[in-house]
Amino acid sequence: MSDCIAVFETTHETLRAEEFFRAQKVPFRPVLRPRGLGASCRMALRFAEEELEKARKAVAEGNLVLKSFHRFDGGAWVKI
Amino acid sequence: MIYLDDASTSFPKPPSVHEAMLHALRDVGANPGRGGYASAREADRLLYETRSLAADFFGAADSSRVVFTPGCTYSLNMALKGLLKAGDHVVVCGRQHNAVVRPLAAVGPAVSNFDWDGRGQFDAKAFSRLLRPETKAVVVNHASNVDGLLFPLDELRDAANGVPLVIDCAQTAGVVEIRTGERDVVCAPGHKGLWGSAGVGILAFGKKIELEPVVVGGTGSFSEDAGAPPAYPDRLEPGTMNLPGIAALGAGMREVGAVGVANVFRKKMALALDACERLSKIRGVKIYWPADEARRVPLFSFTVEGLDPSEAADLLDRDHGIACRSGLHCALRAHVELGTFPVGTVRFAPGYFNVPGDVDAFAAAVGEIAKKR
Ligand SMILES: Cc1ncc(COP(=O)(O)O)c(C=O)c1O
Repeated sequence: MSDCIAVFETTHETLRAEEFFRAQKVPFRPVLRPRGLGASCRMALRFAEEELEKARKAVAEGNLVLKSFHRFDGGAWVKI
Repeated sequence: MIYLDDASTSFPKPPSVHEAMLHALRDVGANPGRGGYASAREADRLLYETRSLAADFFGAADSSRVVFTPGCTYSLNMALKGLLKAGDHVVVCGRQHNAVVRPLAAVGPAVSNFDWDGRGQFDAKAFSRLLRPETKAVVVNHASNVDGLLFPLDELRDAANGVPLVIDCAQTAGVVEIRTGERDVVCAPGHKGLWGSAGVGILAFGKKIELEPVVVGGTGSFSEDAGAPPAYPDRLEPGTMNLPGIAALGAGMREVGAVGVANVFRKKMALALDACERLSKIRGVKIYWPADEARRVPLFSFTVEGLDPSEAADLLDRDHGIACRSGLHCALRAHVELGTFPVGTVRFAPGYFNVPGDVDAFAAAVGEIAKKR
């Protein structure tokens, strides 16, 4: 299993996402957004791939403005 | 000194407000939205938490539509210039402050005034007759900073029939409960009833409102685009934010929240009623405050017959150590309506931290001044 990253539009939205990730019990780490994943907010939330469904639920619950999910695949972050 | 100018800015501020400001300045330091290191993250969090608190405080459903500004004047400028252009039409209600009059004059929409002195019912039919197809906003002073006239927002919102409401809450934020409707633009100062420091204001708006930015610049986001970011709050928050001021505002809102807005109102109103009753017994003193208690906030104006208001305020200060503001209070039209133009009035504006003894001293001082005149 690999790691995933959730990228949101703004810092505000990323911090709001943290609350909903916590509520859905998704263990995550705020990380600097890897280069090439859009120039919006500089932080992103990193979590284990097996948490992806719960992460999607958090996004839906919070009505979060998600930019994209990415999976670390073959040495690069691939959009999913 | 006895400070009775809460309508200008509140004083004193609770110690937690001083501490929050110092904490941001001394212990956080970093610029929110600009870095990924620990202190920048802490700055982000401070901003985020204060924004969420402000959203709760003003009943705003979407906290990304709550932005921090340099003050209520800036909030009003951002609201009016962000919504309107020349050729539009607006209806203006309540006794407007220059913070509304001047931005409207700068933008140049056609203006219809809905005058109402708080007597009798709000006349929704008469109001509706002013609405036109090109009416882009109804601008309302929630409460006058001159005579305390409180405008009935719910009735106005119904009568506006979907036209956005721009609400000047300079005198009501932290004093009267305010809920941001989906077509409302709420403009509030941080330094008056929210007990924060000067230099911070709030602009909260509903999901049916889109505001064009008046000022653009770096936001630390969407940096590849030359245009303003598409997403709130970044769209309306260019440049470095006043984090110490925002931290102080957060502490202020927590303090107000702990007391309860209704309790703040009650305490200030008791002081104002007491002062009004005593002043009304002094010969030559005239009070400007709506007769209907439901139509007023705890501040009022008064004049002393035969005495220029500035002279009266000067005597209060010099001989009695009492701080009251006098003159036109940046609200010309209010004085025209009240018949106090051009000299204006003296204003009694108690704060939550005033005590009944302050009213005793104030009433005795006005009595003395009126006798000597
Ligand atoms: C009714 C009203 N509107 C707007 C303002 C402007 O507020 P600020 O000075 O915080 O920009 C004031 C301040 O006194 C006011 O009383």
